[in-house]
Amino acid sequence: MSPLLITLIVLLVIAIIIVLWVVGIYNSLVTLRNRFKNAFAQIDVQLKRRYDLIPNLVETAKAYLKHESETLEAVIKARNIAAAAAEAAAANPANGQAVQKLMGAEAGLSGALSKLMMVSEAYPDLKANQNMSELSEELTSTENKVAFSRQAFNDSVMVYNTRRETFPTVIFAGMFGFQGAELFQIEDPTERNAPQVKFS
Amino acid sequence: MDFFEAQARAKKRTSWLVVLFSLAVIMTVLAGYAATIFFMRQIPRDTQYADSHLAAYYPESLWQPQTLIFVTLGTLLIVGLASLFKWLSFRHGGAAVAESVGGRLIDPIKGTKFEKRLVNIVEEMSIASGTPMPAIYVLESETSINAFAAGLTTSDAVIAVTKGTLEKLTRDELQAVIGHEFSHILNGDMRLNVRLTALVFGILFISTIGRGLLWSLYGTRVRSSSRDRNSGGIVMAIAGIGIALIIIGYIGYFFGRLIQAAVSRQREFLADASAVQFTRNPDGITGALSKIGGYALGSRMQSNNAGAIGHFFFAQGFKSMFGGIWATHPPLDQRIRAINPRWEGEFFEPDEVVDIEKENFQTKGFSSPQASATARAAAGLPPPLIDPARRIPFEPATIIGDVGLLTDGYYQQAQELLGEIPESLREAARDPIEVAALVFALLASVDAEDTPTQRDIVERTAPTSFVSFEKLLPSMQSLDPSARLPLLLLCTPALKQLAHSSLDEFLGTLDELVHADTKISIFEFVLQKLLTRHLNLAQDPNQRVDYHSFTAVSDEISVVLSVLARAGSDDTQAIGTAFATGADQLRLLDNKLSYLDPEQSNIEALDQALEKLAVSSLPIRKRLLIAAAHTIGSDQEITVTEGELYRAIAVTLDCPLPPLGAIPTAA
Repeated sequence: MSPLLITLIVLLVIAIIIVLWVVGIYNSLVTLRNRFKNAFAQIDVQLKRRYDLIPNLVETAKAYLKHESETLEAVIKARNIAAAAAEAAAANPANGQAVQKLMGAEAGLSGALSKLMMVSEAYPDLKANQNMSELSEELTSTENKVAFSRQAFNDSVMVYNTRRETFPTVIFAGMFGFQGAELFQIEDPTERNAPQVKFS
Repeated sequence: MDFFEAQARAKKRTSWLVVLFSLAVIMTVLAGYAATIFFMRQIPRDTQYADSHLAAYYPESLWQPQTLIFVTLGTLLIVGLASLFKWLSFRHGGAAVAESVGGRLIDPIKGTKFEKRLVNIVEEMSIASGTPMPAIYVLESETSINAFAAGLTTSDAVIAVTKGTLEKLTRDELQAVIGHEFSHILNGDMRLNVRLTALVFGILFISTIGRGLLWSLYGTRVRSSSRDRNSGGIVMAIAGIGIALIIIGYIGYFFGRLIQAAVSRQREFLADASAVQFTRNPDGITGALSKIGGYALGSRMQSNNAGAIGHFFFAQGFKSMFGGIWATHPPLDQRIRAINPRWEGEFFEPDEVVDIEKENFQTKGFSSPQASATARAAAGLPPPLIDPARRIPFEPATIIGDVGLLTDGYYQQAQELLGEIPESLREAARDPIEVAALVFALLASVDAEDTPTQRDIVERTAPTSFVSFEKLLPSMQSLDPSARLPLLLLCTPALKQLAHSSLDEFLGTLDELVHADTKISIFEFVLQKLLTRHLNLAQDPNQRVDYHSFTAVSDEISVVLSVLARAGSDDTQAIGTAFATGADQLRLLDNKLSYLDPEQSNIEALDQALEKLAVSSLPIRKRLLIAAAHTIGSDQEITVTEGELYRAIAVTLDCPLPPLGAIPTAA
């Protein structure tokens, strides 16, 4: 074999290795991007779950909270506003204003809910109610799920961004058109105070 | 604590340990090789080798590729086999593992308050970690605090928690424990562990080679000693190699296990850190760990099978050997300090300290039924009516058997069949209280002539079921015959939950119903066979094999095929064709099979024949089932009776078909 041929083969092998390596980087970026996209969809799912749960909660509480109809109405109203805002935001996810509006509506709902929970503390019958205790477990779980879905989104965005911005991936990320992702942040400060759900 | 950094650290340490582990494997192989060369060179070459055939094997140089290849290939082979074995043992997925330690699948809708909370928490953690939702099991008989995740992939993963975990931990703590288990699923710790175990097996194989050498020596010495006085040197050399390999193998095994345990401990730190990541609440995991330290029982498991899957648990499930260096989990205080460095070193103090010496599971009411019955009697309490803890052990592997046969077609067929069964009947089939009445009604509905007699029998022998029986009978009578068998199979899980006494009562009544008239119909036979098989199989899974040759059971095969041939048609010619088609599948018995008339092949004869065939070897049973399928399919059609009979035969032969009444059409 001539030295030229050997050099060619060596170069070819090196080229193949480099191509495989770049393919690996590309695929890992795609995986990570899909992961955070899915995580974003989860947030939506969990918010909807919460909207579905609230009418049940109010229905159960109604019988015991006759003097608190204002609070209950406020919860229902906030829920309807938030649900409508969520629909609008889902129809047009690129619209920053719609998302902003949803954030505000969500904050309002959380506030109304926490007020309801606070009020219900004063009614021992309600606390003892089997349905109510089940519902409160459901609500705790749903609040957690909403929080966890946002957290999972942010975590996966962080992993994606770290991968995208570190060497050597950073060389190729721009080339393949991988944009940096934004974290999910809460603008309204009242939303930061999650409602305290406590029955016992 | 910075959990992202902690995770990165644990992952890096794992990688290093895995590298170290691979080095250990290579070193062990090389050490085995070196020992072989060393001892072979001990033989003075000029004298002993002069006219021996062994001369060819003298290691001229230190480089002996053949020997190296032999040791390496042997190790690789055994690593491969060990991996295969391990994979196979987890082939049925996490569910089989959970059931092997007595796990019960949670019903997310009907569960208790604690179980619903658990389901919610698992859903939350599934969202937080971005992993699919696993199946959830509860270990009812374990009052310690522990949990495990099992499954080789995220899709067949399960999470199991003990009863103690459900009841003793707060919501946040339980959340942390579940988060920890999700980390094991997400990071593929079970796969890693299977691989390491396989490698450790491989190392152990080197000592097996050594033992093999010593054994071969035992044989050769007797032959060669008289003939060849000079072979002493060779014998000594081979013995030396054998002993050296044994020692190297065991030393390698010891260190292999050591590194494996170290890897496992790093994965626990990783999982703890991930639990904090998922819950964003370090107090949850520290609280759970501190409770394990506080309760006297801690995390120790009662199940005997727990040792085999020890590394999957949340905390050390059993006592480890060698003072903790083989422990699969780091000590509790280390784990707590890894999350909260300012921890004071004080475990949780339970309100009521459980004294293991005096107070045990029995007095706490968690033990086996007999023991708790005595405890109840001593305390002056009446014995429990139906013991909920009583559960006949059952192995899903044997029941599922031939999953390979479950195609989409079967699935659809099963769906259609289920759709035909009225809702009320389906509900009764799942209800342990109503299921007995359902089976009675099923039996009574088959033969309209016997129904009045059978009503009386039920009223007399099983008065508790009579009301439901009356209620279910009309809908049962209008049931499509092809749905009868699927319905019966739906009943078996509920029947298995019956207490011993109720089961005896049930079987007694059943027996009377079957014998209400003098003759036993095919359906009655099928029902009895299926039920006794499905309910007893769990108690006696050991199969013995008495017959290995086809000729020994040729008469029995004739009986089975004759009955099947007659089940499809009344026409003599069709019966003959059906029998011949089936017999044609058994070429080995070309001239030994003959069609038997109804007198010689009645239900009793079939019963006896099946008993004998059930203890024949697997190839016979398989071949027979193929022949039987051809017999009933000879006219390209299968009647309900044929299908039922075929299924009963298959079940009796311990070759279960896909569940839910799908009958394979002859291939």
